[in-house]
Amino acid sequence: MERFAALGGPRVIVRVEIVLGLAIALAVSGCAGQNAHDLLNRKTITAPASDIAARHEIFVATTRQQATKDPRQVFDGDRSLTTLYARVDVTVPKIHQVGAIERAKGSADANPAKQFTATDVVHYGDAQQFAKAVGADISMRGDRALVFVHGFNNGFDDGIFRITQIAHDTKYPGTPVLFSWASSAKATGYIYDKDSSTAARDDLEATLRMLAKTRVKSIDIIAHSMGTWLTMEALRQLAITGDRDLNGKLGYVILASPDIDVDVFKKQMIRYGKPDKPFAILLSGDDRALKLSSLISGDKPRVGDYGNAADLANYGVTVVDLTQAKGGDGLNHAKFADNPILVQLLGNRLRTPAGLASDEPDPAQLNNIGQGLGKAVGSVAEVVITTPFKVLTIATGG
Amino acid sequence: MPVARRSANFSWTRLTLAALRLSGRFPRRWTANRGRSGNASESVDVRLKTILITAFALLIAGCAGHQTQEILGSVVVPTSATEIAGNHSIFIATTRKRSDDPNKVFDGERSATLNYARVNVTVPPIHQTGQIERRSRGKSNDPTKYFMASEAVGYDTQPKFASALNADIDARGGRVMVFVHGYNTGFDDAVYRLTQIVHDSGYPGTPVLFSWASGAKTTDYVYDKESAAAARDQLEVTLRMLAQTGARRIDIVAHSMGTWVTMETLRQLAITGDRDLSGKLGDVVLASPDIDVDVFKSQMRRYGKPDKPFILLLSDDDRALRLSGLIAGSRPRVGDYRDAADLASYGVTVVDLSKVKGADSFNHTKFADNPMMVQMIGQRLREDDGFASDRDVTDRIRQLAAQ
Repeated sequence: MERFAALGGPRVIVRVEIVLGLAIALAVSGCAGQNAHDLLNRKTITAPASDIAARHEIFVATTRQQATKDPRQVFDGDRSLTTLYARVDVTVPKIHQVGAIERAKGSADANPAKQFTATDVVHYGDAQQFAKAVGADISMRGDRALVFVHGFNNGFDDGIFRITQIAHDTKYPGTPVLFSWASSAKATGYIYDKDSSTAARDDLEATLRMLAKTRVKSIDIIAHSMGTWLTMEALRQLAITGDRDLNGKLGYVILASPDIDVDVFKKQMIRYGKPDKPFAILLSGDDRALKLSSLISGDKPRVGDYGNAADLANYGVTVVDLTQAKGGDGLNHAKFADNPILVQLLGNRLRTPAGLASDEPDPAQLNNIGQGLGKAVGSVAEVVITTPFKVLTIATGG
Repeated sequence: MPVARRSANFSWTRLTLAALRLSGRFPRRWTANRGRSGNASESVDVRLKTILITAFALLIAGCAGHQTQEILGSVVVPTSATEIAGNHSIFIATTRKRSDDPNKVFDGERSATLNYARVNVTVPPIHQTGQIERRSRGKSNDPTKYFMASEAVGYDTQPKFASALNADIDARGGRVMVFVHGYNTGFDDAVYRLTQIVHDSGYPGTPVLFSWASGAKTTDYVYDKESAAAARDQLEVTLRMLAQTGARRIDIVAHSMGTWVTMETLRQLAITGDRDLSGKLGDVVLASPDIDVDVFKSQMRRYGKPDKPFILLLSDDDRALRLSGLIAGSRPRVGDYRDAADLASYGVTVVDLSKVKGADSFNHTKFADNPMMVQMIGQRLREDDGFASDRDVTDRIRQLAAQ
């Protein structure tokens, strides 16, 4: 009867309440929007060239399966055993606001004059064909590539539009490459997503190695949320093979809102070793999406909402605390991209190749940029940067 | 086992079954319509129900029991050798923190570094093969009735541990079995389980427990998964340390979520170019693997086909894994996957225990709690090196499974 006594009564009620809270939180907390995940239009919609701000060619390596049931999604949430390759062309409308992704509602067709629109998809039959195409683009654009690894609860479309927005708003001068792993794009798919990202590690490693074999000089990585787990795993195993910096071609590693258990992250960093150039961790104490991850993982902090920047900096990373900056939605889980000032600050940093940038951000320069941008957008915030060596406070705006 | 406990068990079982039946009422892709279905509140409602059911099921689906979590009795009762059935020295490498409660030795918190210990455990004369006779709360510390830890020794440095271990390995003929426990398992559960396996299988070598920081709570599934991930490098360190002792052969038995840690470690050993521990890796037994099938395949692809096929024990009536599968998006786990040929193509031997009876209703620990199985596995592990006998024993295990 002991087990009854232990499990019955108040404890069960408390747990049920927690679970109810979780369920409600899960129901509202998608990292991505509530779209139908359609990427392509049913029929072509043309808009005058004067309404289009830019057209971006996004190269794609993905462990998703090609979407056969809903071809408009192009790739869906099921897992492919092998990496598939494609290129998606996306237009950004003139009316675009920095930090925002203007999207068609539901499954409606996108109007290129008003919304981000995928205009073309090219599938490559194998890795060689893709390597050739991406290699040519890299040479043409000046020898840099930006790999974006999206997070939990993202459709293929979400990843495509986010990297387009980042490439556009940061004015990134190189080739954008989306690594899209098989997220189910459901708020309840947390463990499915975690398994999908884990199953994609070798594919991400192979993609990075493939890029390193092109004429690229610098490969930058931006990873978000659960994508940071996948990225850290790939970097960790590259380190185990003895090639942790891709033959010197690894550029910036930016881990935004990392959904990684703090203890696991420390272990990954120990195995990787202190990076020659500190990885940048962007975190925010008011990240609601990560609060949830913490809750379901036994009330342990995630890197992305961890309060002890100095503790992390010990492992060779630079921690950028965005708690004071405003997010684009109530979740505060994607400030790096959806806060207009932050994404432009990121661009200022990214446009100088990692090899030429100093490890130490110049506070005066950052302050000027931040305040300039802040005046333009009209918001005030402080960003605290903790490097392995010191702590800087940057005013953005004011 | 006291009568009251047993009747409680039955009720929990009924609840589990009810929960599983309920969840069966919902179509497989129960949230596929999100955003497209006209009735959003309905889909939230279904999701709520599913989560509630999952939570309920998790509440009752512990792999381990609900005993005291104390490994040492508060009073050590002296026993003479004739009063007990066996006394086993279990060597321990653990990523758990030392407990503030000295009777628990290690708890569910994570340590930044490895801790080393040895615990001696006595097996009572009334012991039944496949069972772990545990003292429940309020009962006396009686080694003639219960598994009891008689001694716990901590080693403060790796060299001290390695030297104690080495002496034991030499004395026992050069064989080592590493046991990696599963989810929802306290330190005590793991020590007793390994003792039972060693005792019932008549394993002649040195038993080593690798104990990662499971929170030992049914609700700690994700915490446990993170603890397991954080323990990978420490398991690698432990295996390499064993390979540097006088051990001739190192067998690994992993259970449930412990198979995830084990596969991760073998995978990274393979990446370093030393996938078989310089030829010392013997049998790898993966019992009821709580690994997503796609993740497992990706691990095996990176490892490559093993020279000696890993042995996978699975059972399609495994209720604990059905739950993992449910919360992982209705995807099969390796331990309840039905396509044996698909797995075998990656270089593993699949032994289907679906027809073998488990000791409890979860059917998640048949490899150890079914009396015939644990002895068969013992026989398999006792077979010394050499491939000739491999087929033999696996065939016999298969025959047993078919009975």
